[in-house]
Amino acid sequence: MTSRVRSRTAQAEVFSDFVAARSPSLLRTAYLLVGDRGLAHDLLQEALTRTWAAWGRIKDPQKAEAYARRALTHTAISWYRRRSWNSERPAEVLPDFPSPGHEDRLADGVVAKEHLWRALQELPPRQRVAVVCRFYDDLSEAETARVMGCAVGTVKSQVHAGLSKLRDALPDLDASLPTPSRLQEMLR
Amino acid sequence: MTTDLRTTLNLHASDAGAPELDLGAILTEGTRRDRRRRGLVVAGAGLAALATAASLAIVPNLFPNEDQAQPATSTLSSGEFMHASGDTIWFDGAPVSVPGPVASLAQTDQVAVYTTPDSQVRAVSAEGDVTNLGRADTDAGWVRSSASHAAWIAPTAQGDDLTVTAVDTSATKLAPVTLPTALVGESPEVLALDGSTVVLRDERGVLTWDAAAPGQEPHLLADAAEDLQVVDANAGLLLAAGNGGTGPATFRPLSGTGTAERTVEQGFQTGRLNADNSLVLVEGPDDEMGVRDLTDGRWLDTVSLGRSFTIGYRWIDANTFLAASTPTEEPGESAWQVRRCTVPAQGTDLDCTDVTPEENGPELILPF
Repeated sequence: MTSRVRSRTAQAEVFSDFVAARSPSLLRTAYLLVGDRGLAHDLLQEALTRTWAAWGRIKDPQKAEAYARRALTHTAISWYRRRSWNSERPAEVLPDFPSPGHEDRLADGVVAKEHLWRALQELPPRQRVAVVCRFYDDLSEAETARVMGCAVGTVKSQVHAGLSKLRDALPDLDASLPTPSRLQEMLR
Repeated sequence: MTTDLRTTLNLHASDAGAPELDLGAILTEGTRRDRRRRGLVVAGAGLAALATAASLAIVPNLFPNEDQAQPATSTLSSGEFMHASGDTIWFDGAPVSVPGPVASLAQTDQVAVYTTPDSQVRAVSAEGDVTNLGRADTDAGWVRSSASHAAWIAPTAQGDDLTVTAVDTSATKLAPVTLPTALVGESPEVLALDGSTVVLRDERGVLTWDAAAPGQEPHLLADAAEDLQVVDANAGLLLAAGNGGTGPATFRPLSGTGTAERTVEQGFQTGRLNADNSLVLVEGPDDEMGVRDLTDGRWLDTVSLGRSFTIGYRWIDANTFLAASTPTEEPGESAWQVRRCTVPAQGTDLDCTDVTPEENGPELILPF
């Protein structure tokens, strides 16, 4: 066995450990990006494939996580852009079967959040990515910019536009949703 | 209330379930893509490894050295189109028969440098003159070329040599020079070639070596700890990706002296610089292919050309490049498609014309 082959085998072991450790978290992000469990798995599979393809150049596991998240977001955006979202994959007509306790959560008064979730699914992909990165992954604007491959100013505008759309889509919830600028202020 | 959005996201994130991944498929497909990215050409769906590699780094040389002073004497100029299939190489449409099937192809201004399936390296001119140049360690990379030179890692009994040859006259007058094994570290790979200067990576880090001054030892540009990600080298500058391709890229002097001259906002991992380093054909960390204007950040997306995997592979003047769409299993994408695209002065729409050669098919080999 050559040293090159040994090196590739060792890399595969490290990559496998990375997948085992980080795929649950990455899957949750993927699910928020696409709103469908099957698509989320497809998205994660694709993102990890891209990550492994670049593994020889990544090396640092911390960079691998950033790389995988970038692959997730760009693949999601790309799927929308190429319209394969609807043409190659079944559209999400019905919501996923809720997890145990879902009805209880509704009963506890989280209907507003369910509406918010559905409105989130209607956001344009880049706005949705920006919102998920900022408010679920807790990435800074600079970190979100790196993940999205865009300028910080673009992140600001995408988040602002996304939050504005959420407010417009949920007029009844106006009182419970802060203005975009206020929300961003409060979340800093 | 500030938690409404966060709560909603966290609430639904928990509905994602547990990952059900096919790790074997990830490793297999990822490896295949990595090889394709490195220039391996898979000859037909389902064929196992009739693959070889050729350099993507073919950049018109504006580096002010002696290479530039050499007038072109061949019928081939840097603006022309080269491809190969079987044992024929086409120089701008004119076929030239060569000994042995072509496995990979590199293009200079004067000659074609190609490898055979058994890793022989040969050069051939448009007139059909062939020179044997030795062997390449194709596991360690492939033949890379500039307008005036070709370089490759050559296996020896003691280890790997770096071999560089000037190709500024004709294929019959080639005189390869070698950086011997003792001066080459483990796992060497030619990353880029700017004129006669090779950018090399081995276990020590990223090094440069000027084949025009073969008595000099390689210069360590960045040690391994820096993990410098080289995008390309051109006109005396090296473009390095930031943070594994996710951060800003930086131009630095190829000579190793002086500080970074310019930082560009958008990150990428690999690319091909145009003659004046204002544009780069980019392969981004997420497989995105396109042109990045390094002066203003403008992005021109080759995805819009309609194929799922399109890569710009050669600048033929400051604003015009060749792009190849690889065959895929998608409907209507079973053959290569080659286009000549011009970057507009403004806007983001590439102006492209189809220049796909008649000798098309999965066995088509392009100089990348």
